Amino acid sequence: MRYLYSFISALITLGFIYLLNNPIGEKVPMPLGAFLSPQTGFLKNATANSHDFSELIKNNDLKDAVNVYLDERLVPHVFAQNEEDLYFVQGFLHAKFRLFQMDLQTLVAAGRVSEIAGKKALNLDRENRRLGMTFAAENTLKEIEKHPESLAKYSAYTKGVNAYIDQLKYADYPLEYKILNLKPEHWSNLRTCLLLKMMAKTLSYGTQNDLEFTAMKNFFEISKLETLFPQIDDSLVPIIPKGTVFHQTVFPEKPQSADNTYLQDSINIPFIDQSNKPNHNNGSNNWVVAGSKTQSGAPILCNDPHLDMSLPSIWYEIQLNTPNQNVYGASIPGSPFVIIGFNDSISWGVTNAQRDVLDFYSIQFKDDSKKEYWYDNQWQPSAIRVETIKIKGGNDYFDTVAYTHFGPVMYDNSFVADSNFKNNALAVKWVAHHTGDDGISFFKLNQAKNYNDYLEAIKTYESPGQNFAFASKSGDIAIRQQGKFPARWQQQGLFVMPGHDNSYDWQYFIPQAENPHALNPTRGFLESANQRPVDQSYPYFIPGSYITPRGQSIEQQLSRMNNITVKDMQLLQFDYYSPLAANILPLMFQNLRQQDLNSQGRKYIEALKKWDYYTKPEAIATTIYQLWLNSLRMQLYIDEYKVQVGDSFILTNKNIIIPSEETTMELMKKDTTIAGLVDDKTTLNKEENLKDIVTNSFISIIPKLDSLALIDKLQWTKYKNVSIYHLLKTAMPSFARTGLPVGGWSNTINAVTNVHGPSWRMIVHMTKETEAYGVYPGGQDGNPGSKYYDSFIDDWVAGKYYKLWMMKSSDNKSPEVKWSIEFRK
Amino acid sequence: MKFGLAIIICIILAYVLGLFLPWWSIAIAGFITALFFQKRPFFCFLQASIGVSILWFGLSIFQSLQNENLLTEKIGALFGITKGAPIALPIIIGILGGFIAGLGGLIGGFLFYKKPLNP
Repeated sequence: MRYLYSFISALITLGFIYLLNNPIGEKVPMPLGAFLSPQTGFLKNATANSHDFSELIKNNDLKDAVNVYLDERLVPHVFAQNEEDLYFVQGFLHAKFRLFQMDLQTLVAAGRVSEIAGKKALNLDRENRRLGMTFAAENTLKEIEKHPESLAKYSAYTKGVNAYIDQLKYADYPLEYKILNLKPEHWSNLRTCLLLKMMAKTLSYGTQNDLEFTAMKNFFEISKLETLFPQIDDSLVPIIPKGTVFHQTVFPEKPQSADNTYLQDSINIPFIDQSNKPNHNNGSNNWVVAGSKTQSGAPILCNDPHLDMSLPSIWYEIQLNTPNQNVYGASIPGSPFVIIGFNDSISWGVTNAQRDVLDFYSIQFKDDSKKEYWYDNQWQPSAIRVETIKIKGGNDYFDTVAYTHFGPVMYDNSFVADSNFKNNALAVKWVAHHTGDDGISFFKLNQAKNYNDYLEAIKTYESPGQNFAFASKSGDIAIRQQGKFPARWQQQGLFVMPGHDNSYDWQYFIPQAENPHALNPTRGFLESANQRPVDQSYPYFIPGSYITPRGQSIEQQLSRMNNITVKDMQLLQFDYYSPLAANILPLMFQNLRQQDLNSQGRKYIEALKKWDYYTKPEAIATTIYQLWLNSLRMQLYIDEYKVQVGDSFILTNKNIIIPSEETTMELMKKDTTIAGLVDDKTTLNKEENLKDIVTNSFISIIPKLDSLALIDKLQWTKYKNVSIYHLLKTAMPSFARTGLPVGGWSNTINAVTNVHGPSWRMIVHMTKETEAYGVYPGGQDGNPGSKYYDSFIDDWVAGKYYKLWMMKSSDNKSPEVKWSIEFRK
Repeated sequence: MKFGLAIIICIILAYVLGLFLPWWSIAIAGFITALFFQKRPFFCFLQASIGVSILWFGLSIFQSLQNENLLTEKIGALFGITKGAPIALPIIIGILGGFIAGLGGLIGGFLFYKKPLNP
């Protein structure tokens, strides 16, 4: 009998163990036993506040000893004897503090999210695969592999990451792996390339609107589109000072049929969900002031790249020292080198070029096999790549992607269900598909000593196009928009182009020497803030998603400043002034019929009239203004896209965008008919003028303002609700920081929107002993269980900076060194 | 007295096994304790259960306090515990560990206890 009871209890025990050893559905994705055990589970990730980060790492892949000193902010100062050891240790440290982030981002890039998230991620995965992200990464890796010296650096980095992964037991896994019930996957050079392509996508995919503009040809004449979406804003202050002389050595030829067919014919493209399209506000500021304008006489370089803010942050601070180099700055976990930073001779910073480097071509397949497409009057074979997408809790999905000579067919009838799309398809041609080793430019910048080294470093850099600002201790300041950019004929690539005719293909790239650049201007400063780099005197046609206002602000302020100090620069990076509001709000008031407002409405107007155009956190005027402007733009434009069906007007085509705030302001200034669009065509018996629309647009937001006031959300920061989410977004709400009291908007220098903003603020004063400051909205440790997870956020919110400590190896006994990690053979 | 000793032995066993084996080694600890201290099955369940409850609760509280409850708050919130997670989670963890270890003890209790079960 005992044995039977024993057996029964054994069965029960095993049953419970089984239950606790496996995930239980969506809500509890992890095996609870291991996750809750204080010896293996999440509590192992509860880093003690007094944790000792010092340790000794032995690894046979090292050539020599490497010492890493961690300061009180957990910034590593790496001292290695050679480059391979240096990047090995950088890889190890990235993995130690940011492994999940690296893993997840490259899974996204490779279209493998379904492996961890199941079927709901299938569309995202297909999109990234069909865009050719892995194809692009493979092409770059092939280029890297041609150069043994470069390859050695990437391989050392990869080995370092894997050395960290290989020593992990379950109990040591980063928290997210335990929650999602995953194992860390080995790193590879391909994954580094995938990460760089992810950056390319973030920064150079959302900068074109080919599908939207093509759809909008159904609503507007080409000339009207040019007015509503101008290539050059009237108020543009270009990056390269006006008056610069440009050269043109390649002359792209417009196809004969372009005027009649390409520009006139409307092609029906189905609605394509582009909700994953990267934020076009992915922008940044950088500027350099020459010694002639600073108090010390030494140049100052400033940079704040604006990106989606996340925890862990995209940036990881590090100092990398060998006998050949000594560089400090922000690195990106997943890639070796410092991306934005300074060394003992120079400093550099980047902003996004915002150029359109991606075009869609319409493709005609012979049949559903997609093996042949019509090109140059014959059926050409396409290359078929079958993508196998593994899906958690489901069968593998096989996605057939045809590659044309333009690039992969992103949208076809297998991806977009629409009868218009029978054997038609859209292929995508993207600069990032075929680039060289873009990472190596950063390696060279890390070691650059002067302007010529800087030029040499970036001249091979291709994607994503960036404005590289530069300052040196010898006193030079410079900026260069660098990347590989197609030389387009007028209007090439604004719309989907015919893919059957080779004359629509890109004919040349703009020669590298002709990329916009400036060196030591007499005015003593240079700046870039995602505006169009040049005025109309630049000979090439360069469409893009440019942002004008921030550049205006910076230019205005820098031109009137003298005796500049670091403090002045800090204040400028934190500036909340909205030049757009200052320009458009008086026009809105001019056209507002106040007598039509109720008393509540007048109260809001009174508040708005007192506004100084600073988008401060507590300002309620900013909320009123922004809601009013949003409403105004909708009322001005959205009716144009509506189609009458019976008695009502509906939006049938969602592939549309409306003119920008900037353009709206410029139109209001010069044309009260707003290019003839001012009438609301859905009100059949009425003809509205600008005053009607402006007044109506204000009246329509009053209820919204009232309801916001009721729940105390009228203050700008409360309305905006600045939030920094964990990479797993709303699935992990308790890992996020929400409701941060920060003002600003995408068009102010301090460009903080709700989830987007200055992801790294850096100021480098090029004095004899470099004086540098920086801060980012995050923390060095990616572990949500560490106090270093979000330790910089409050200071970032307050506009405070940390002094960046360029350590010398003789400082190893300094009290600033809190811990040391020794790497030995 | 002997019961107290059994609890202490179980705690040590569970802790040491836990260093090398997966979380379910607590059931083995309960089982082995039952082998050392052959008692009525109910007491075997109890000694293992109390022992591992103390161990898991204690380790959880200790690690959480060292971390100023930063992570237990966050994990608690993931499971919908909005208040008191730094206490609630260790209690849940203690009970869970105790229960599994107790079951391990129960297996041993039935197997090793030589006297009739119903005297």
